[in-house]
Amino acid sequence: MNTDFTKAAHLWRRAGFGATTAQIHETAERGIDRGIDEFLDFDREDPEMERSLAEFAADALDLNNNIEDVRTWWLYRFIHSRNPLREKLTLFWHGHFATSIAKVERPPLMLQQIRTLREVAVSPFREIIDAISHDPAMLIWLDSNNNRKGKPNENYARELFELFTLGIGNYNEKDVQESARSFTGWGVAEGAYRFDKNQHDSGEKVVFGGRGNWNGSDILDAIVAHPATAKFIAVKLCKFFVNDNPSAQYVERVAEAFRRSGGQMRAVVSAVFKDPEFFAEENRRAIVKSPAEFAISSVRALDVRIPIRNFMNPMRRMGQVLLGPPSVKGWDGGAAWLSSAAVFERINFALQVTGTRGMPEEPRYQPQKWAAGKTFNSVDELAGALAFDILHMDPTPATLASLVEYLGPEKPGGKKADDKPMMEAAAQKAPETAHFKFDAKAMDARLRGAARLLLASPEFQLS
Amino acid sequence: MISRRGFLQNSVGALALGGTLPTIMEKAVAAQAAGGGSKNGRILVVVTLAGGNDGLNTVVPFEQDPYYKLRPTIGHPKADVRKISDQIGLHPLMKKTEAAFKDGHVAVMLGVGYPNPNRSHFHSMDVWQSADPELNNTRTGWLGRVVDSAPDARENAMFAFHLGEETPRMLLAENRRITTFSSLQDYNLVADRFAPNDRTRVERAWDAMARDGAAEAGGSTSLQLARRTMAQALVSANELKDVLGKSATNATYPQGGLAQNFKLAGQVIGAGLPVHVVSLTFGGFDTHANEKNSHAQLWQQIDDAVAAFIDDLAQRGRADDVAIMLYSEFGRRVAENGSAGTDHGAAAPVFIYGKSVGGGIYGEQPSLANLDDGDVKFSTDFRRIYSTILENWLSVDSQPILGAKFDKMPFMTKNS
Repeated sequence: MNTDFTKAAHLWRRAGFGATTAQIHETAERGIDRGIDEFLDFDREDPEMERSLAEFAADALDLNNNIEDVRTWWLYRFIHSRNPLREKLTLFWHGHFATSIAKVERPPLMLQQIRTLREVAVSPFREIIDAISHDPAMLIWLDSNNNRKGKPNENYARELFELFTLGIGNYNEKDVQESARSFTGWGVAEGAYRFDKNQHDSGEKVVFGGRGNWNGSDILDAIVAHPATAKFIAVKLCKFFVNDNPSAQYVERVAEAFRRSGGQMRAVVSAVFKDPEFFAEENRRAIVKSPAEFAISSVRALDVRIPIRNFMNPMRRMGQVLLGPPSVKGWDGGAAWLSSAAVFERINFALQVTGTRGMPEEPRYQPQKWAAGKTFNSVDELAGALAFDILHMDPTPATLASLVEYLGPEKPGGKKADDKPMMEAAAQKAPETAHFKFDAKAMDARLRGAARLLLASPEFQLS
Repeated sequence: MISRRGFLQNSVGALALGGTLPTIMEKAVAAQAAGGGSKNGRILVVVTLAGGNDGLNTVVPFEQDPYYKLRPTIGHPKADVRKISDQIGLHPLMKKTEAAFKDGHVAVMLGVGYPNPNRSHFHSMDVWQSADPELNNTRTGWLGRVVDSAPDARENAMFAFHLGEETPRMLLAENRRITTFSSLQDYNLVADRFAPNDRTRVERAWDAMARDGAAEAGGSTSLQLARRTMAQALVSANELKDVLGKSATNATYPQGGLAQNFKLAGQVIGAGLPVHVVSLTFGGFDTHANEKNSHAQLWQQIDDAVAAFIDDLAQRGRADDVAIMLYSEFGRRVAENGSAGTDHGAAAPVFIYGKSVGGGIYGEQPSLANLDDGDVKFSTDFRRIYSTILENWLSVDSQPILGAKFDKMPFMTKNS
């Protein structure tokens, strides 16, 4: 089924972090092409969100000393942004140039890196790679600080080639060693980039077969022009935005946009979202949501807010600590997100979202409000409506059947108050008619449970 | 089609996917009858040292002059190392390992690697974990293929498990998801405190979404993956639910993540669950700068944690059933770099601890006078170790797992 609504829902999941049913309807009504253009309008700012975030940060966050507060600052953007593609791309680049507080140790430098990545998120690739190569957190993370004339440290040069630009097989060990020499002298002093001329090896190097007195910038020029880079970035983008296993043709079209534009990321990102196959059946629900996507899309789908600190431990146990990736390779994603421990974390996080009876944050989840004024002729109808409202698609038969069973009449012996059969309660209100309206209050616990199950359903784990 | 109610009633005891399987209760009884799984219940514990362990500072070739010439800052003086032969010695802090070695309970494999070594962490780790240096045969891991092929793995959600957040490639199987957790407290479905009695219903519904869904036609790969993982989570949590309540010993584990994971592994094994493969990861070995202290701390932790684990197993009467293998994706460059660290290298030693292991030194220490672009050349293909473990320890045919026959090594001759 490829209605404008399901397309709009797909777009919100991929270009953002999900949305409420109402927001998706709005996008669908204005038209999908216009919706895509709005997501791609990177110059559109969200001043209201910026203002509220600045206030929140001033009140509650210590961005200079507390890395959890830096994470909170970032998650706030994901949760609240009305223009989320730049935020999503910042998350993409963080996974790409994966840097960890574990070694950097200074929260403000991590914040600075995220601000930089956000700033250059759709800049020409040469500028992105330039910014990250001069970024203080990166310079510490990959030992550029220790890369000295006569005693090169290969860490940055190797990962730059292998993980940031070319990919394995497109360079040799000599290229790594000689590039490390070219980057000597790039370092950090007092929290900022500094070039130390005395530590720079200005001698002759041979990189990719070219002989010269190369410096770091020469290496960056060479790799942006290298044909492997276009392909490498295209693969990463497609895995993140299109499909855990994107088709070779899709990747090639995006790579071609990179080559044609000389690495203009606006053109490249546009090619990802305007591709004729973007909405194709095989690309729908074809990405396992990352813990960030899962957690954010849960609160966004139900339009619920919970304290952002409550995201931290669950996300860690789901396998994603923002600003603390497991290695410079970032997160593997795909199947790796779904370990057996992680799925328990997901269903338990879902409880935090749906069980918000007395939480301080607004809005809370109010299933009574959702049910109020709606008329259902059967539990099946109720289950189907709730499922569509959260999944933004029709549930699979198994998911629907499980939900009906869960919501439906209890087997004999269910005596406890909170295990009270919902249908019985409903039937008592209107026993003589098949067309009854549910007693929303009696159903509160059961509807919360059903919403939790939907957030934990197989379908919802996929973007 | 089975009626929903009938299905649910049958499935409260939660089963693995596919086939007609005994309920958890029946299996628990069977496991106890089999002596807590100790009959033919050998266990392999694999510890992945992530980041590239500096093999030359772990097993020090103190008689080779280039070692001291190329490592003026970080080299361990001959007087400090714990000599296990007239050529090599262990890191100065590996006191308990040295003692276990002298008791004949540690096999030290020298110069382990593979042809055309790759210096990328990720590529090389994939090579070790898939057991495929070309990386073109499969997406599965070598122990995942054991799970796929072992008849009793199918019904046993605890056949293999990983302690951590993410299942490593080593344990990726074609037909199964592998139980993965980092803490048993969190490895379960939390009840809504406003509706505590609803928990069973939620669990039942979630289980049905997973397993009825998996039986549906037409689900995408990702959807099936989610369903299978959910089912695996519920089955294994059911098996693990009593582990924490029992089975403490007097063994004293030190602080730190590695030791705590060993402790958890000891509890699971001690509870009598039919475990055969356990995987742990220990990171921090990517010592590009200021290596000496960090590397020492890592090995201090390993030395203490492994000793505590073996002590724990001994108190449980299971020490003879467990072999512990430690490996890393590569060793490090022979020459130190300008930051008192080392860059990525090639071959390195592998350790196997265990009361049933034939202790000693195996293979040849690579010569530092004969380097390949600054790295030592491997003398033992890592797949020879795998093949020995597969056949002589886990009793499975190594050929289908490794794609070829590799000469076995005699470090498990006590058992073959």
